[in-house]
Amino acid sequence: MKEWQGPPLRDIDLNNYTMCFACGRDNPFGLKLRLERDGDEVRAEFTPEEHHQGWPGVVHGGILNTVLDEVMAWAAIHQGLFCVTARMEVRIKSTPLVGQRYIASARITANRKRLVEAESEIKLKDGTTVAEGKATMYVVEED
Amino acid sequence: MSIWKEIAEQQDPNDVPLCFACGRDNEIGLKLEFHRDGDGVKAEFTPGEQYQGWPGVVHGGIICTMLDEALGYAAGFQGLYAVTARMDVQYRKPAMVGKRLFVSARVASVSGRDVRSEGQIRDEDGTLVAEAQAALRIIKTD
Repeated sequence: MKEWQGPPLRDIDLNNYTMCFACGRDNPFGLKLRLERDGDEVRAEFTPEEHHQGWPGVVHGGILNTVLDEVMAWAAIHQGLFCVTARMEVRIKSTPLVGQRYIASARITANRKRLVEAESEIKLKDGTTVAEGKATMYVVEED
Repeated sequence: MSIWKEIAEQQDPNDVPLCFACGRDNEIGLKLEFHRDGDGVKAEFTPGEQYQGWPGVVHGGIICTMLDEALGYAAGFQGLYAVTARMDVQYRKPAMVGKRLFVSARVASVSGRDVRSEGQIRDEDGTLVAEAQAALRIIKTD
């Protein structure tokens, strides 16, 4: 991503922006993730439903990617870095079934000038890793 | 029985009406319709604002969903029904809500039960929006 062509991000009132597909509380299509800060990490719990599946009973890879993308973006926002994802690598480690409770978490691992590196996981409550994500994000604006 | 064995034995791979990406009966889904395109597949999609991340900009997860689905369909159209094990996505340009996107993908190689496929999304001008490469594992063959 060489140049940001979207809206100015710092001007967005994040507390009252409720239409994000992943975290918007008023998006009827969305995942309505509630992101919580936990030290340097960001965490979100979610239970995918039937309409989040790909193959029957299995959560769609795109939904897992969405959750990983979102927790990594918020790990950056909590450091005052408003980013867009430039690159993301996802590994699926075990079969993610619909209807189970998952915990996603993310943290920033490097911050050099306009590029931020982050990593994230989605785990079951018993600690089994379901998916791992790594991203390089481009800093559009900084607080 | 593992869910993959169950899916392989009982599921018609061409009839997945509740899939978030391609299911015709999934009310929150993208309802992508894939068509054969040479040795690959293609689909068109105009994301509405329900699929945004930052205001007016399509969520990266939705871009991933389109690519993941196209990469899977590229294998499926060759009779190789597969599940994504690893995916690498590069975002080249923000995709704006309300603008038509074109996703395409093809199988790059097959080795035993492993498929590698690659895909891309372009906008109406033909500008590259995102590209992806994935490793998929075959759960069923025709």
